[in-house]
Amino acid sequence: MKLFAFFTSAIVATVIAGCSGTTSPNADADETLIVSLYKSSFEAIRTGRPEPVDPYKVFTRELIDSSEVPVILAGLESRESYGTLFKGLQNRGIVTWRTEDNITLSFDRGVVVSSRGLGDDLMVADVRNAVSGIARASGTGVRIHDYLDGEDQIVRHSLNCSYRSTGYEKISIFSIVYNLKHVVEDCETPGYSIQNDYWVEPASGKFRQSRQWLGPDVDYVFLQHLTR
Amino acid sequence: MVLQARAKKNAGACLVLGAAGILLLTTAPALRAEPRPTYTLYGTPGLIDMPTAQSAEDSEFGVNVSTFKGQVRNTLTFQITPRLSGSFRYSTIDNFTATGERLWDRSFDLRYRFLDETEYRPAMAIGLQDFVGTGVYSGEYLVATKSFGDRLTVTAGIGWGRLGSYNSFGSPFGPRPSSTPTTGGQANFGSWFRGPAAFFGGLSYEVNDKLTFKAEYSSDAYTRETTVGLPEDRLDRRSPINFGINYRYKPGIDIAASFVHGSEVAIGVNFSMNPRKPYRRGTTGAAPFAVKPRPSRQAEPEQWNQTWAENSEIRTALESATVSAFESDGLDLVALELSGTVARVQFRNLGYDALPQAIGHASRLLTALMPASIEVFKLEPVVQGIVPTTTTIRRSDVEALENAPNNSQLSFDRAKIAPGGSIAAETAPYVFPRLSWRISPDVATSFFDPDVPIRADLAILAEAKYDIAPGWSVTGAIRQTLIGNIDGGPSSNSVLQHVRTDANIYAQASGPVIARLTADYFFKPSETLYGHLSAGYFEQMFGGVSAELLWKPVNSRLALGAELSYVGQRDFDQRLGFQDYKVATGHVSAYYEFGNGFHGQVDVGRYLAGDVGATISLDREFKNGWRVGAFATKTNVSATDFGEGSFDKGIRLDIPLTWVLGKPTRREITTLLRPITRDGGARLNINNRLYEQVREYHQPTLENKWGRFWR
Repeated sequence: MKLFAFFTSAIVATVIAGCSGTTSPNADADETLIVSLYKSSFEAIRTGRPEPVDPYKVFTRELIDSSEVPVILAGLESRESYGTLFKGLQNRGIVTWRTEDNITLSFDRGVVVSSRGLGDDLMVADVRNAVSGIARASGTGVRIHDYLDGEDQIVRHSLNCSYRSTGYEKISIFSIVYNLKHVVEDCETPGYSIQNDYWVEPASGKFRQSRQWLGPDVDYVFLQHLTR
Repeated sequence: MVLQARAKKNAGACLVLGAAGILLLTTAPALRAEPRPTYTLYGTPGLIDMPTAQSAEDSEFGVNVSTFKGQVRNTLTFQITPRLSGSFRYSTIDNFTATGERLWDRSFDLRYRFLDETEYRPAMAIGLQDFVGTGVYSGEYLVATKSFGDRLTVTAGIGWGRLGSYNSFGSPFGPRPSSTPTTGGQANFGSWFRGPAAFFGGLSYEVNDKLTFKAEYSSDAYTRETTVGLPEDRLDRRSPINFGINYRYKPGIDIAASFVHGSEVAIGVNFSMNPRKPYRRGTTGAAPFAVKPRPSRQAEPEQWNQTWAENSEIRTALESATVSAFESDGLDLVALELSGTVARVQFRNLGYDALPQAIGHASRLLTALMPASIEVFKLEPVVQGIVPTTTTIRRSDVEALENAPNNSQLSFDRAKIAPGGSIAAETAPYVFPRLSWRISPDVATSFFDPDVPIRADLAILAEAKYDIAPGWSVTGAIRQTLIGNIDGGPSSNSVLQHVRTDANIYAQASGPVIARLTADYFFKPSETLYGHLSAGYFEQMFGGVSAELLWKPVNSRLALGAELSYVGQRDFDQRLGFQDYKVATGHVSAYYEFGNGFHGQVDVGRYLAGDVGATISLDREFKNGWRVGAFATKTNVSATDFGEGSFDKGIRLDIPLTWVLGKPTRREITTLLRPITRDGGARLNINNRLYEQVREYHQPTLENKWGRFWR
């Protein structure tokens, strides 16, 4: 019916008119070649629309080395999208990395403590036991994750985790080969269990590569530290 | 008894709940021990036509459209508390009168589950169907439901009224007074549970998580549908047994198909959603600026020794930098007052539905902008040129807690919330005077006219606000209708002054109209008092002068207000002129936060038609901004003079757009649904009353939304 047609489109128009409120901080990352190549992937990470761009076809070691700011390649498995994180500010030992379109991940010694811009973000995590557990590659510890529920109230998930090493693996990251110690973190909580993987550089303790669970909706993020 | 319903325009709705088609939102699957209840053709949890003692999930909202044999039922059901649910239904029955005319009817239901199911005891509920209104669907019931395992439920009950019309076993509570034709709209207390009673029952079986099978024995003889009306179109009720299946297409979307009365096929669709469970959790807005730790004293001694504060060039540069940074983050800096160690920041929140999120963003920006000696941030969000509260946060706490465990609770504990003061003497450049404007599409709606049940107008709305000085502003909106049919509505038969029932004539105005145009002065005489003076054209139908005073301490559950206005009814062309009718209208109001999610309001005073009485409103409010409520007004206008409906009542719904879109925005969808709009109990529509504006800056709203501080 004509009435319903314009009526529905009027509602749609009004709803759309109402969504002009988003503002974003000025990106202060340098406009490097890497950034401009990846704009479409950033959009995909933010909205979750699958954008199957294969980073291995676009990145090269020369390109990575030319970046003035350290770079992490991040992939959200459940959303099939990739993005590039640039190192940003550091506060009390926690470093915040940011994408071109203002998604951030904050790390405590390589372990993700919070995310922003992914929707059901990890608001904050207590990972002190995880950091030491991974360094030891043995023992157990408790992790605490805070999320916001549908009413903007903090809900707390407490995960019991155990740590072990599965030995050394040779991992190639854009033509540099690393010999990394693979540490596995198995965590359990009533309702679900997860497994995080870390590939640790033995000399520095740095996580060259990791696969970390961010939350029930965002699922796992795969991270590769690209810069030498 | 039945009235041929001729409805009037429903004033004030801006977006319709029919947008449920767009709000195709899902509930998270509930963890239930018993099988999940499905909805009836009446849009309530139950079997096919018969109710059960089941309840939907607490705060679940159901929108149901069901039809069979010339009947269409559109029902909104809300689980008000875990035990109490209410429904509003707009339905049509064809072939209702002897000459085969169609009836349009509005009805309200209530159900209360007073006993929970245990291992050996069924759940039991008592219910009133169509208890306020003309009584077409009126019935009452007492029902018990027991589940066996996690698939099968069995229900048995006793019904009265319509639900006691088939195979009754007697009238346990005496005869049912026959309802005489009245203006309708009133609760027929004297009829409840009177008259013939009959048994009903049924079972439902959950075959798998998508399919449920239902069968029932119906005690509703459909007396009128089978005996009145043109013979060839009457319902042929061959059997009291109804069968149905419910198919769960997706969580939140159910499709039901039933074979009823042994002769008809019924189809129903049900959308359910729950304010506590948005489809998308969280928001995908941009990440906030990160905290920038201060340089050490050795590295930057000039920032620490406070002498920068005497340098006016530095202060001006700091102010400009803050203006730009705030603007890029959805905030608008109003004033910045700096001493050596304290930064007092007054700002407007433009981008965030949760004020604590704006405060959290401002705090982080300040860590990057302010010289190192500044240790205390006094954050003062501003609304209408006044400062309701001051939130004081130490910079060291912002730095320490940014990514610390439990930072949400800790940041709230360490923040100090106190009543606000006044706007600083020196405001940032370009804040006053300032013009802001917006052009957007606008929809007005009008429901329940039996000839055209949904009327709507699509218009362009141009709004502007000129902020002259702190508290002083001129605001207006011009509306140009593009296309619509509200002007075709029926003319008023009201015996009272047509304060609301000439909406169709107002809608006939051609050309651009002044939707509103007022000069406002907002002021805050003390820590707990707020005031608002206003003159101009407040709304489509009235203009004049108004004064409002509100007493609301920051931490109080109770607020008290008083409003007095002298207005005249505007000319139908809605330009600058007035009709002869003038009235002094005003109310004293009490607002109360019950603390468990419920909010009550009582207004006592004189309404636009000169009638005197009171309005009671009760809302269920959710911490994410959703509000569902109902209101009713009783004045000294008699039911006869009021006309159809007998007294003013309605339901209202507020949905924050952030919940729908998952992006930060302050806009919301507001809907007001009146089964009928008449002239009694009509209140002046002022869109910037104090309580709604001040609330979000006070407790408990600040604490309720503090989870967003670090977002």
